[in-house]
Amino acid sequence: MVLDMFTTMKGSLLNDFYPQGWDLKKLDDCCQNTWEDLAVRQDFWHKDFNAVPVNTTEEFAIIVGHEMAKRILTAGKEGRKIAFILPVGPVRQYDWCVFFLRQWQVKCDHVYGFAMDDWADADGNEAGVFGPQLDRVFYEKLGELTVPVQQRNAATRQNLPTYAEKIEALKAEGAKLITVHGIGRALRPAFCEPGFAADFDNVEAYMKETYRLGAELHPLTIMENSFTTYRGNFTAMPCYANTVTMGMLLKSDEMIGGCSSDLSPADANWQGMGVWATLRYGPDMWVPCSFIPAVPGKFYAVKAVCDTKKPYVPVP
Amino acid sequence: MKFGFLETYKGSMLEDFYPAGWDLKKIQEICSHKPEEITERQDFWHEDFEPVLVKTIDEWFVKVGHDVAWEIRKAKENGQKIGLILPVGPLGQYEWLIYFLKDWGVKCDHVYGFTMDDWADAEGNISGLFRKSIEDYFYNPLGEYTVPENQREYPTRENLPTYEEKIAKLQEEGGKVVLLYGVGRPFHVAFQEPHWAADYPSVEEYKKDCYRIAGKLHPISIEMNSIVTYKSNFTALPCYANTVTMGLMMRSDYIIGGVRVDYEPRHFTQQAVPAWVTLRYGADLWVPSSFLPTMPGKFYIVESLADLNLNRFDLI
Repeated sequence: MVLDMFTTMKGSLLNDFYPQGWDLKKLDDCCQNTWEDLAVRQDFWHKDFNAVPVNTTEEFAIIVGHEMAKRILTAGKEGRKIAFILPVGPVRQYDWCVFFLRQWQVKCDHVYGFAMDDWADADGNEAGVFGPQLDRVFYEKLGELTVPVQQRNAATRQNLPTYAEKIEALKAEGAKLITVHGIGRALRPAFCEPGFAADFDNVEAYMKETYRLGAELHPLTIMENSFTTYRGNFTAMPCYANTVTMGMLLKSDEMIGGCSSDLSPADANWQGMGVWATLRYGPDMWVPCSFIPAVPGKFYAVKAVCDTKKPYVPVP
Repeated sequence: MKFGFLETYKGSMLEDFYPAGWDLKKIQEICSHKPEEITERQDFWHEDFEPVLVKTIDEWFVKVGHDVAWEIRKAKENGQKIGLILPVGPLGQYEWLIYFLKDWGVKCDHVYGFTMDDWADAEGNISGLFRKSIEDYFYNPLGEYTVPENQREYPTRENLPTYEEKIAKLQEEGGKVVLLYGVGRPFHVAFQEPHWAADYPSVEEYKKDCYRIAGKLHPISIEMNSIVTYKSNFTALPCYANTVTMGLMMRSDYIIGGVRVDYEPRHFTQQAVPAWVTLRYGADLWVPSSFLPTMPGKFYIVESLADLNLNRFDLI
């Protein structure tokens, strides 16, 4: 008998751990791909959605940064405003976006930024981490070309509920909305947790929600962030977040992002399942990232991160 | 950050996630120390327990491999048998252990190997994966110097319960027992999970227990192994393990191991907090690794793991 989660889960401590709507067999099947399969189109992909393999984490950052800068340049030339929903993970793309914009001397007074999330308490009081972080890694580096302060939006308790209206107003003026994203361990962009699905009877109702204040985070998300950001110290993070949800993200004219976190020099991988759940699972509100291919955009994945196929062998 | 885990976990999805006996405030306090304080001796350490900083994971493997080889050589020269309790994670030290033994011409006919654990089903039938790994990484490459096959022990449902008696016999005959170990994210050694503490009325009872068949694994262990070995595909892991427990491990005459993994370039890690908690928590049955400093031996630490704030964007 093969020993795996399917043959041992019942009665174990893992029985009720993963989000109840996850089809684990389907997730396992999704993982049986390699980077060569990445661009193979699926029925549920938007015709203008493309998946693109890249070689390294740095190449991911350069290309995503360049894609951002190109759209800012083009919107400026066309006299249009442009809005971005922006992540704090990943962040390296901002260095390259800043590089290109400064090289091209593109002033960003037509850019509107919306931080996609922030840590929070149960009442939705934001921790005030991600907004200032975006200032530091993006806006301030733009110097005299920067986005005006009043056009930068942080996911505070007061401001997050205004995102939908502000973005609608910008779109009504002809602005495009671009989301830049990564994919988390819980198979979600932003902090749009899979468990939110339990609150909705159907996808239509799910898509009407555009934000959540004081959203409960799954232990997978806490473990991921403690691993990637807090040196494993889970006591450093709160257990809630304010976040845009898929209803808002799917209003984007384009989504640009993917999976960049390459640990392959150590033979490890935490983000591989995120690649394949996004590209192969098919739209399902229990797997938030599965909606991303339904929107025009580019999904970049580092080849080594795409390596999720069996067999798995112990490594030194 | 305005608030963290301790201010927000009550009522959240994390409230009952971490093992019930963990003192979260103590863990948070332990995580507040400066890197240079990590080797400061504590009252509860054995006088012959020594933390040792190394610069790289390669240095970690060489020194751990060397120290185990030296113990094998010393036993040979003293006419003693030597029992080794052996892990499958880490594995990289075996290459150097073999190098030194071959270079010194030390034949291992006096060595008894006890594989510490393996994946299992709910009845304790093991995967056999760890046996294969120990053979591939240690016994087979030793060639003519190798450990006799009848002195290699594996944690099957039938054989694991015999470890205690076999090890006691070795020690009665004047032999030495050495534990080779790493420390996992739930502060465990082998698959000795922290929440098993709930099954014991006292530390004395805890120490009497030498093994567990089909031990229930915590989701933290599953997530850790999913990243390290299973390319993020958690569905490939079983939910149980057969393992030696602290009662047996604490009968070791000497321990050699520690923490080593700090993923470059961004310093993602699962082992920085376990390093500190092992050294500072104080012996507690809810934190298995906290017993390690009560034994004579060495705890090697890749020095970047001592820094709990390294690369933390929220502190920059």
